[in-house]
Amino acid sequence: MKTKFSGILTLILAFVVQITFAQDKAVSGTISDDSGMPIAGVNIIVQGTSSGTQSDFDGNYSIMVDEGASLTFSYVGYTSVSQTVGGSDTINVTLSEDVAQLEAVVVTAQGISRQKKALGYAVSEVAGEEMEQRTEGDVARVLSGKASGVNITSQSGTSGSATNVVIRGYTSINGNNQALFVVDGVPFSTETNAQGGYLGGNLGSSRFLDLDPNNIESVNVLKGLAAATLYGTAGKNGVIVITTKSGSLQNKGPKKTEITVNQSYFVNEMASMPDYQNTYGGGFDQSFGWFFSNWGPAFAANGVDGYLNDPAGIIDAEGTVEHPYGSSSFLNAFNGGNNVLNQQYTGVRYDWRPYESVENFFKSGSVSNTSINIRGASDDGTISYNVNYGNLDEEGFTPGNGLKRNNLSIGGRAKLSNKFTVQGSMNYSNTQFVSPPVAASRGNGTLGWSTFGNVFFTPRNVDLMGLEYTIPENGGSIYYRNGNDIINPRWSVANSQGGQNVNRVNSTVSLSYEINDNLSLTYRYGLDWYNERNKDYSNKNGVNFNDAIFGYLRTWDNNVAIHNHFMSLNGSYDLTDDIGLTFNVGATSNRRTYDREGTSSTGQIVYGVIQHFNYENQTPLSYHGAKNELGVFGSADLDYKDYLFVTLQARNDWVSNLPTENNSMLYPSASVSFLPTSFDENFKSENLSYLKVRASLGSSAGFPGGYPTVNSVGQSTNVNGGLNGGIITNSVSNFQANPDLKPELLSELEFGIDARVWKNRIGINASYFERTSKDLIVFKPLPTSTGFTSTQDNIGKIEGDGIEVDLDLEMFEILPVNVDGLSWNARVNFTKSKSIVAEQADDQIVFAGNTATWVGGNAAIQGEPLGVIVGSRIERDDNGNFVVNASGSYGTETTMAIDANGNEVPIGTEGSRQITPIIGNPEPDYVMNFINTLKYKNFTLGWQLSHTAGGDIVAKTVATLLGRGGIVEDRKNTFVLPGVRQDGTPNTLQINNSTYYFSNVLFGPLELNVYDGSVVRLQELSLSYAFPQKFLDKTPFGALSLTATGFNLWYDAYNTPDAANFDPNVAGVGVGNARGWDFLNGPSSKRYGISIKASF
Amino acid sequence: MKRIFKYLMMTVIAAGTMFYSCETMELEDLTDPNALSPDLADADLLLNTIQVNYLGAMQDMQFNGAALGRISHMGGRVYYENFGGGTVSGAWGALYSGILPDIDAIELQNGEENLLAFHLGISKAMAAHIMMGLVDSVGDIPFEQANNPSEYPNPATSDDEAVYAGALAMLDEASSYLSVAVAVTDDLYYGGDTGNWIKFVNTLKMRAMLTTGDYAGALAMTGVIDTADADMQFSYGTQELQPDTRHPWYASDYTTSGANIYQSSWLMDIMTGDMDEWMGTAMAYPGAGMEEDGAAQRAISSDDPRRRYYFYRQNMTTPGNSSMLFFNGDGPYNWPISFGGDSTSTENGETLSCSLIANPPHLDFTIDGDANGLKGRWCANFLGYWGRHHGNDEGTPPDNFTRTAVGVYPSGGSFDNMPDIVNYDNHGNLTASNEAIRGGVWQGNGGGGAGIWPIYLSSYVHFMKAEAAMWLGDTGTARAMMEIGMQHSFAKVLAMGSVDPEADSNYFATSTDVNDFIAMKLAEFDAAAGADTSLDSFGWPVAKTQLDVLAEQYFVAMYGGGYDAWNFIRRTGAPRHLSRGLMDNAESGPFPRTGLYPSGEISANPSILQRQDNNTTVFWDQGAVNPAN
Repeated sequence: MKTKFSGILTLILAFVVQITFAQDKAVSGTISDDSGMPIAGVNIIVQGTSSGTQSDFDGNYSIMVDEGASLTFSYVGYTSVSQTVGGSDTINVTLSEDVAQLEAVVVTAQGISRQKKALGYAVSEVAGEEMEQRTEGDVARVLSGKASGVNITSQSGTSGSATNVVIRGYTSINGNNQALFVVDGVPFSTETNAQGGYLGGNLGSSRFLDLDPNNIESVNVLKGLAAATLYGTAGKNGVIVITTKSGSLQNKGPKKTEITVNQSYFVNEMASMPDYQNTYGGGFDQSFGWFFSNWGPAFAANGVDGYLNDPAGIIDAEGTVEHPYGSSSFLNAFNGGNNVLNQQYTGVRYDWRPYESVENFFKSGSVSNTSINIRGASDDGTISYNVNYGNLDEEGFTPGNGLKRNNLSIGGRAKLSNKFTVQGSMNYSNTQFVSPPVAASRGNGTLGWSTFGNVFFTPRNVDLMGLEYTIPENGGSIYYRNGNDIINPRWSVANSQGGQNVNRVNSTVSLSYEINDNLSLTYRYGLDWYNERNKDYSNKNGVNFNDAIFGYLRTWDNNVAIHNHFMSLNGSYDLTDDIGLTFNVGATSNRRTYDREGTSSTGQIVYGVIQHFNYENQTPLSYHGAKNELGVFGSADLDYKDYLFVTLQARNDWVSNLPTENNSMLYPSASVSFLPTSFDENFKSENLSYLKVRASLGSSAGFPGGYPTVNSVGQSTNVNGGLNGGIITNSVSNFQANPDLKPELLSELEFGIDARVWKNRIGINASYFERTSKDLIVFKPLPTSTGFTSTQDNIGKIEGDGIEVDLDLEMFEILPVNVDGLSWNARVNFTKSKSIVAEQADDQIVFAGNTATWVGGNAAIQGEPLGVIVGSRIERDDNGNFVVNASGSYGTETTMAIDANGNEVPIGTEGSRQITPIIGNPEPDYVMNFINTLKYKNFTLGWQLSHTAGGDIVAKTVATLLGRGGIVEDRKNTFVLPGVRQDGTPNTLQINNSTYYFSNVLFGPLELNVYDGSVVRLQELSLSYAFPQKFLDKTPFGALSLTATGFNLWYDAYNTPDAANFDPNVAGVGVGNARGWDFLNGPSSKRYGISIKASF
Repeated sequence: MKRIFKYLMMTVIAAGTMFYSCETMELEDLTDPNALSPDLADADLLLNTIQVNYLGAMQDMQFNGAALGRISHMGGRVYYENFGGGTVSGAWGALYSGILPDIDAIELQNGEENLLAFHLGISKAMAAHIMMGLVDSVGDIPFEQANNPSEYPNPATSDDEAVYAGALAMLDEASSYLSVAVAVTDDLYYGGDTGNWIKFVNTLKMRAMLTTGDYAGALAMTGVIDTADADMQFSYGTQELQPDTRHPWYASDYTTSGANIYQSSWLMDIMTGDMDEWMGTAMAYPGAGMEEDGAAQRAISSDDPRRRYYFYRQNMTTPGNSSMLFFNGDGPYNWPISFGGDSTSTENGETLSCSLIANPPHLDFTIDGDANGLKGRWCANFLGYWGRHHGNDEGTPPDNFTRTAVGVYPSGGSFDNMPDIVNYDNHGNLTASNEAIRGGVWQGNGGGGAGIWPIYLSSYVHFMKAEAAMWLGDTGTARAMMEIGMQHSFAKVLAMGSVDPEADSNYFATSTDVNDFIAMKLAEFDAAAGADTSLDSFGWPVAKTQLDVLAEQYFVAMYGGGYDAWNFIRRTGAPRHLSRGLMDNAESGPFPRTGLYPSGEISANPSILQRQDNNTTVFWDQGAVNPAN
């Protein structure tokens, strides 16, 4: 807008030179907008003449005119106003925004520009300013809450951890549900190549991390299928269209070279630190022991819970116990007891008191972010360029975690005389991420090696930071447990690491040829290529895990390349005076290759040297995949008299991993937009200045991944052959190939309105959508007795619907408050959606997570919301009462039966289906964001409040903190669990606190780990100050601003225990279709700091 | 419009040309480059998978059988939960989705010349074994409709008796293949000895006869595994990585953070012998300063000489109880009672919480209850054996370096060199004795994991014949078979002592020890003739019957491979002196007659309904009840 304005300004200035001299009266005044803000640059023309002037920065103007003449005040985006010059010398004018003109141009699918009013579907725009100077270097996280319908979940607050991006809910059971990123017109690979599986470890960044948010010009979110049709199958989950500054060059670059520098520094802290109690120490049943749990006696000597009344009698009257390294069975056994620590600590006493171990293990990290942007253009504006450099250096709050990124981006555009326009951009990034081992934990060490798991339930009497963590003799891990059977988290940090070092180039070049005024031809080639060097390792002499005991080193490269060709013919014709037609036809091809090569070594030889030669065994790591997708598409847009717009589109896709009979899918879309306020002026009123009604019908296809149509035989080497050593095995795959597999079909119906009401004070953009995905490609479990355990098949149907509302509120006009120079813009977005499994032949498909009912999973069950959480639950009797077993704890059951309507019925009921008990639904009731900008003079205060209502989560963090006594202060009461005994009589059995919390809340039925994930959050808070122009006039700066920003400064998951301080915005199991899981691996982050932006 | 069409064509042609040359246009790329195509499968390598799957299935079944027979520790309190949807899921998968499809793949390659007869013979024998084991564990299982997904996508079960018949037919098929087979080296069990495989097949047939009540047939069966050189077992190595070839029990128990398996207190108590006999034996033990060697310690006849091979004690005392201590002269003294204390002097709530807990009332009257002011055997053993009672489901205290670990037999660990009776004078106090004598497990200690996984040993086969003879009322043959069974068991176990290079041969059992012990047990067997079979008012056996004596020895011999213990209990109700669970029977629920179907099968197969209890009986099950359950 600003650059367009400069053009106009130039023109106007030319006119000004020719001002005639005949005027005899000086008229002056101030021009302001509806909110009272002065408008600079308003054109003031004396009607019927060529003379005029412009308002200055404070909205003031003055002009010489004849009395009785008429002045026209016009400004882009505002309704023009005419005033006759009367007796007064002052004419103040208020200009109202012209909504029809506000309907600016937006970039839709495949880079096609459309007037916003012509769109029959919802598009959300996020301006570049909202992406800049943010505390998070991850584009997706910056987008969080900015647009309705877009759900962003961080894996955790670990720097460089993965992020889930899902638009309009989940539609596919096993297929990918992550949104497509398109950068400068080319698909951008955003997958998360996690190191390790669902539970055993899930380090790995989502590859949109390679983008620098500071280099983003704008983001458009295409939510619906009608919006994304032209992107084909890749766009079926919605598209996030990113235009980088390098890719955004138009024929409007400033002539002057502009340099902008951004420098930010933030503090990165752990936000979700629990409030541990400091009254009781480690042990069980109020008795001291070097246990994982914190159910020991009080730190006070006396009283019923005092340590002197501990039946174990290990704590002496002085409040000391033998040093854990003095009483360690491990150290007694290590070298026959002849070792440094054993000798040093035998007989040494250790204070029985609380230590702030967890609090001190985590530290304060930092984020430093530098961005330099240079852009300019030739004098005639036909050649323009942009260069952007970004540097991000993040130090995590977890020791050993960090992220470093360098981005260099260049782009240029040239309009050549021979009707060719060439544009290209290239982004190079290097992203380095390291982290100590992260894996799921369920409150003990059985699921995998995780630094976090072992830290969070450190008993309060254990001084994690004060105890040695290394055995002097061999560098091994040592910790407080008698048998040294858990790994010291500090040893993990010092000796083990996983990381990714990614070099990436994504570039695009496009060539367009203007055939004539009506037709143009565009060809675009995009290459997105990255090499992701993964490395994870451990030294030897750790404990508990083979990886730690023997040491390992794995290095492998994932080479991913996407080659994308695109060609289209674009036309624009006026068919009649009233009917216009624009069209695009084209073809695109997309080839994605994925190659992994690497080496896995085990058995470290010399402690401390992390090179493959220093490991005994090596095996190759290798995987290859390639997939081609071809598409042809056509699009026709008809407009009638500026109030009716119709778009018809169709695309056909072909894919390489299905047999010819099933490898293609044609899908159309249609959308219509109607503007009653343009159709008939009578619709228009002060309270309804603009109304658009839209409807669209879209469709898309989903194709399978991998090679699902041909059977295979698996081959493994180094299988345990006992005395025969490693043997080679062949085995017929348990996956039954399905040569008849065909694409899944998605369709969507969307209605919406866009309106501006109440004197433009409120802008409304609301959509309702219904989507159906059928013939879903599902990993269908097969009865083992068939000889196969799974296949991929087209079964099932998901039906979803949702509402998205975006409001734009001028708060001070609504309230109303009228203070000069003060404005408050508030935007509210609201999202509510659900997906129901409408058809599904099997009793249930646990498509994510684990079929072990104590771990739990997300299931597709007919009649239920997609992704309900299933797992073991409290046993119920036939009347639905909880059943308490003979020891006073809840019984556990792992199956339930439902009838055709999804209602629970007794097991064995005719026609019922047996399923794993449904214990939660991770889908939130709604998500709402409240984004505010309060401006006063040069100050801008911004804050974003987010509210997620509902949505269940299996919160192992909360369960563990309770179950291991970390945050439970009240120890003196007993518990009688509500329920009945096996014989139906009410339960009266008393159990103590550790049995209640440990055996029920933590390790009882999984149902008891489920919490409501509702959360209110202060997502962002910022205050910025822009230095006034007159101050800058004396400096080299064109603009200078200072911003203080905070991210995630406060939140409250109000339905979880306060002391757990749990943050439900975690995807404990990484990116994928699993939802509603926290496995104690997701401390969240809060960040705050300052940034400075200067342009020259 | 014409022009538009022209440009349209131009676009399509231009795009086509541009893309055509690229591999981006290729379609029909269907084959997974990361796996073999089915026609490249190698019969020898398929056979390897089958053998590995078979071992997995046997381990799965051993887990159930040994736990129910108190040969190994059972960790949960409620039978229905312990033997729920995961009961035989490993064996189920090994058979249906593992072995049977791989056999089909081998059959496709077996041409007219029958070149793969050996592969098919041994594979079918192993498959039939698992199939019968599955019937024994869950009853009716898919058979006629199994492994035919195009016709039966959801296989229904067949009658369990019919499956047994089918398995026997498969054994016949195996025999006929083996009769013409040329051995191959890819044989992890018998090294290509076809004759031994035929003995294995016959043993499985004999097992089926015994199970289904054809006792005369079982007793008369010949060509079975009746000598140690035909023992069906899997031998392990000592390699730690890539692959880990060590015995899985060894890999669990011999770690730098101590042992991780709990041994069954019932089995250890049975094998430590009679406490009163220990206490009542005067010993010619030398005075202070004398060696605590083995020879001097073999004092009583009820002490099973195999216990130092089976179990490795890391600690000489068990909290709440103790070890025996020799003190200056004339006989074993019991710490702490002989020193004026009781169980409270040694209890340790941190490492053995039951040492602080009173006797469960339902164990009071059994031999597991409190004894002599010390903790009863339900919690602690008097010779320092530190295990867990049937059904104990507590969390894990820091006892990894104190609990009893697996020994040198069958898992290739350490031989127990620890004295049972400590010369107190040599150390001066209990702590010093403990410190001096203790021996924690450690990665690489003992035999390094070079153990065996016994599947059918010649000792088992003789015990099976002994049982058949008992059914036939032929106690003489039963006695003879039991004697041979015990001899074979001792020979097998004792031979493994030297697998541990650090074994102190002073503690090795001598042939005299063995003969004395066998004689003692045979005498017990003889004395039990016509024993009172009734139960006392607590439901506890008044006396051991001959079958109880035989069963006890069979169960002890089965340590390491107790697949058939569950069948034996359901068939005979013996041994009647199995320990009761830590939970009373109201809590534990009925003893499982069958387990549940694997949950994976159930959730995918609507033709099979999950059971709501474990009372379903297998066709051969006559409902014999063991009073301990």
